[in-house]
Amino acid sequence: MKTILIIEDEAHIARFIKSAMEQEGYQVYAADSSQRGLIEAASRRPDLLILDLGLPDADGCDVISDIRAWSSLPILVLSARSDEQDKIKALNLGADDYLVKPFSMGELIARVNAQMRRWQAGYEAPVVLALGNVSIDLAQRQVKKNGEDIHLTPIEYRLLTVLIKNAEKVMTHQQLLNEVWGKGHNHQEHYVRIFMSNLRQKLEDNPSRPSYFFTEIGVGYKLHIPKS
Amino acid sequence: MAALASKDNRIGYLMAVLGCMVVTVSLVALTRWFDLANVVMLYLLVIVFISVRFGRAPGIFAALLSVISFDLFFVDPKLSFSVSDVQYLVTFAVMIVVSLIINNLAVGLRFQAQNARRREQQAISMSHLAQSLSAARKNEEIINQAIIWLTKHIASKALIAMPNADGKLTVVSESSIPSEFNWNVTQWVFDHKESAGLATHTLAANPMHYRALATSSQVLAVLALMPTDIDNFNQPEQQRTLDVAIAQITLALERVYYAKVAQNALIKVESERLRGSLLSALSHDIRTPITVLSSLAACLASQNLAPAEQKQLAIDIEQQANVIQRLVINILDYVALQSGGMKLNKQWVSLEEIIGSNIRQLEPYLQNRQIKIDVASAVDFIYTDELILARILNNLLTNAINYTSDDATITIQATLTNQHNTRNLQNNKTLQSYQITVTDNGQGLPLGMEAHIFERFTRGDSESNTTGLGLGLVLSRDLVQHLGGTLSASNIQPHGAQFVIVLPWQPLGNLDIFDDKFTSNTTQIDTSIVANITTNIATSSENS
Repeated sequence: MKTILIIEDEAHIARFIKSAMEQEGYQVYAADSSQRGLIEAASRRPDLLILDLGLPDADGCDVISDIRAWSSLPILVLSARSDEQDKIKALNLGADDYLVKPFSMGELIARVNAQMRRWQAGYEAPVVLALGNVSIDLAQRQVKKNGEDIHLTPIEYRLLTVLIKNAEKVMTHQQLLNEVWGKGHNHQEHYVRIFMSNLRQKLEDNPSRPSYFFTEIGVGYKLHIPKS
Repeated sequence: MAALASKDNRIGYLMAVLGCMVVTVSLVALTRWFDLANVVMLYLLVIVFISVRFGRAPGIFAALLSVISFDLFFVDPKLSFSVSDVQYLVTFAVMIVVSLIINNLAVGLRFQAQNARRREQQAISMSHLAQSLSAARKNEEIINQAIIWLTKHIASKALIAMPNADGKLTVVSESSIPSEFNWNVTQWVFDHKESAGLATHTLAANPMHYRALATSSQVLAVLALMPTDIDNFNQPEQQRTLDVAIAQITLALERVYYAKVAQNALIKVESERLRGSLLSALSHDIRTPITVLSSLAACLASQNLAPAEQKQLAIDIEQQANVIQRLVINILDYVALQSGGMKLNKQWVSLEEIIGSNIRQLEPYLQNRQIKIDVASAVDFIYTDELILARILNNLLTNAINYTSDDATITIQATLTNQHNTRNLQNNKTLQSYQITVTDNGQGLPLGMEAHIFERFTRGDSESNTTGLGLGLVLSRDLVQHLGGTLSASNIQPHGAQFVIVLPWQPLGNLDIFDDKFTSNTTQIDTSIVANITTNIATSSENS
C-alpha cells in the first residue's frame, strides 16, 4: 500500500485530506509542523508528500529543499491564494504540482493519483506512449497523429521529451527554459509560450482546450498522460 | 529736462514778443474804436496764453513786455515813458500777478494730469497682475507671473521662496539664484512674519528687500527683490504699489492652498463614501450565500435524507462556498487595485492559453453550454499582463455562465482592430488595438442599464440570487483600465450580452525572439502574423 505524508497545520483540512486519501486506498500519516513533518518523512519514507506552504514554524519552501536533498518523492504543494511567485518558487525548488486553497477534493485526488502513477520505484519515462490519437516513439523519434507523421522542429521535440520525462509535474517557464534552451535565458518566458503553442497546434485536437498539454497560467505547463 | 525747459523758454520768449507785437500792431490801427481798458484786456490774453503754454518765466516776460507796449503805444503821451505813467506800475503788478496765478494753475493742472495718468497706469498694471494671477492654477504659475510683473515694474531681480513638502524653504525659479540672495534673512522673515533688508528697520544693509507673503494664519512665502531705482523705491507711492502687489500675490497663493485643502477633503469624502457603499453592498452579497450555506449544512446534518438528497445538498454547499470564494477574491483584488498595490507585469502572452485555462477552471459549471473560441492569428500573442487579463476574462465568463441558461452559447473572439477616434486623428495615424469580445445568447443586460452596468455596485436584478455581479464588473472595468484599455457592454439581437475589451497594441518588433543561438544573422521582423514568425524560428533553429 502506498503511503502519503500530509504536513498541514490546519486540523480540519488535514482531517479531510486524510479521510479522502484513505478512501482512495492510501495509508496516511499527518504532521502539523515542518519539524515534525521532516522527522516523519525521514522515518516513514512516504511515497508522496502533501505539503502546506503556509506552515507556522517554517517556510514550506525550506521543507521542499530539505527533502529534495535526499529524496525525489513527488511533492504536492497546497497554497493559499497569493503571489504566483510563491508557487513558482516551490516548483523551482522541486515541488511537482500545486493546488490553491480552497480546492476541490476531487481535483486533489486526481492529482495525487496521477503523481502516484508516474512515480514508481525506479521510474523511467515511457519510450512509447499515446496521447489520444497521437502516438509518440522516442526511440525512433517518431510522432504520429491519426497515423500520419507529424514534423516537429528540434526545439519542439526537445520540449516534448522534457515534458514527457516530467509528466504530471508542473514545469515552470524557468525550468523549461533551462532544460530546453539551456541556462542563461532568464525572463524569456515568451519563448516557451510560443513553442508550447506550436506543440498544441500540432498535437492537440482542440488547441484552445487541450487534453494533455495543460497551461498553469502565470506559472508554467504540465503534460498529463491519461491512464491507459 | 533743464535743456528742454530752456528751449521751451526760448520759444516762450519769442512767442511773447510775437504776441505783444501782434496785439500792439493790430490795436494801434484800431485805437479810435477801442477804449484803453479793452486794450489792456487783449494784452492780458497774451499773458494768459504765454503763461499757460510756456511757463512762469516767459509769462512774466510777457507781462513786462505787455506793460511796456501798452505804456509806449497806447498811453498819452504816446511813445514815451512819463512820470504820470507811474499808475501803470499797478497795472503791471496786476498783470504779473495774473500771469503768476495763471501759470501756477496751469502748472498745477499739468502736474495733476500727469499724476492722474501715472495712477491710471499703475491701476492698469495692477489689474494686469490681478488678471495673470487669477489665471494661474498652481503655485509655480503664480510665482512666475508675480516675478514677471515685479521685474517689469519695480525690481531688477525678484525671487519667491516657498516651503516645500518637508517644510524647508526652497526657491521656485527657472533662472539661477542671484548672489545677493541671503537664505538666513529669508528664513528670518519666514519665521517672524516681518519684512527685512533694504529700506526696512531690520538688517537694512542687505542689498535685497525681503517681504513675508502672509495671511492672518500662516506665512505662505517670502519675496526677495532688488529695486531698479532705490531712491524711488523709498517713496510711499512705490511702497504702496508693492504692498498691493504683495497682497494680490498672497491672495493667489492662498487660493491655491485652499483649493488643495478642498480637493483633499473631497478625496477623503469620496473614499469614505466608497468604503461605505462597498461595505453595504458586500454586506448583502456575503450574507446571502453564508445564510444559504449554513442552512444547507444544518439541513444536511439534522434530517434523515436519502443519499441522493444528501449528495445534492452537499453539491449546493460546495457551490455556495465557491460563490463566497469568488466574492472574497474580487474584494481583495478590488482593494489591491484601489490602493495601487497591483503591479503590472506585461509580457508577450498567449491569448489561447489564457482563454483555455479559464475554460478549464470553469469546466464544472459549464453544464451543456457551448463555448466557441475564435482567435485571429494576428492576436495569437499579445503584450499585456497575463494574470490580470485572466482575471478579467474569468469575471466575464463567470457572468456569462451565471446569466445564461444551461444550454446557452458563449463566444469568445479576439481580433486586431484599427481604432479611429479624435485622439488618433489628431496624431494623424490610425492606432491598432487588441479587441477581445465575450458574447452570450442569454437574457442580456437589463434594458437601459448598458451604460450603468459598470457603475459601482449596481446589479442587473437588484434582488437577484446571483451575488457579486456589481463588484465583478466594476473590478473588470478597473482592471482593464489598469492595463491601459477600455471595457464596454451592450445588448445584442435577438437576445444576449456582449462585452468588449479593447487593449493597447504593441508592435511585434518588441518581441525579442532572435539572438545568436538561433540565427547567424538577425532577420527583419515581419509585423503581420505570428505564424510567419514562429515558422521562421522553427526553420532557423533547425538549421543551427
